[in-house]
Amino acid sequence: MARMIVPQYLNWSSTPITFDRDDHPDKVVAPGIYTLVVDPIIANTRLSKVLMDGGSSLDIIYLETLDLLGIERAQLQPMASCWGKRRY
Amino acid sequence: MGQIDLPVCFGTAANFRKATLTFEVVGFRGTYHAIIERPGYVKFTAIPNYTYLKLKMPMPKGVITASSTYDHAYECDIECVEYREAVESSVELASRLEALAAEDLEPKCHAGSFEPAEGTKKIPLDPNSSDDNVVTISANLDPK
Repeated sequence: MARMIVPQYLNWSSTPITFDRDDHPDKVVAPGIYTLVVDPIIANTRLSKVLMDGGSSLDIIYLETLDLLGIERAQLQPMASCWGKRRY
Repeated sequence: MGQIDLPVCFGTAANFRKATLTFEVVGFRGTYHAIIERPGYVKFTAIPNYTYLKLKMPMPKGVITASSTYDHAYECDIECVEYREAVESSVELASRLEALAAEDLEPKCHAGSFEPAEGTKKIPLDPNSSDDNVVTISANLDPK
C-alpha cells in the first residue's frame, strides 16, 4: 500500500516572483559591474549600505556597525563552528 | 569574534517583513554596514536580480522590491575602491617605514668600534712574570 506523502511547503512558497520589463530601469549602466546594495532596518535603525552578496553561507556585520547601533559587546555569543550546529 | 541575532526588516510601514538573522561579527573595517548572504536570502525567500540591481521578496501584501539606485551602487563601489587603495598605501607605508628603520639601524650594527665603559685598568695576566701580557678590565673589578 502506497503511503501518502504530504509535501511540506516552506512559507511564502506559493508567491511567484517575477522580473520583467517593468523592473527594467531606463538605462542599465554597465550591467553586472555594480553591487546590489539595499537599506533594510536592522535593530530599529535603517542601514543605508547593506550588501546583498549571496556567495557565502555567513551573514556578516561589522563591529563598527554594532557600535553605531549601540549594541554592547557583551551581547555577542560564541561563534558556532562551521561544521557544528548552525543556528538559523 | 562572535555571533549576534538582530532583527532585520524589509519593506515599508504598510507592507513589511521582519526576520531575525544571525550575523557573524567581524573586527575589521569594511565599507558596508553589513553583508547579507545565503542565510539572509533563505530567511526572506528573497530573489536578487543583479542586472536590474533589485531584490524581490514575498510580503503579506504582495511582493516588494528593494533596490539600489545605480548612483548609490556607484558611490559604494567608489568608496570600496578608495578604501582598498587606502589600505594598500598604509601597508606600503608601513613596509617603507620598516625598511627605513632597518636602514637606520644598519650603521650601528656595522660600526665595529667597541668602546669600553669608562674606568678600565690593566692588570698582568701572570703577576709572577715580568712580560707585558696584560688584560683590560673594569676599574671596579677585583684583579683576582
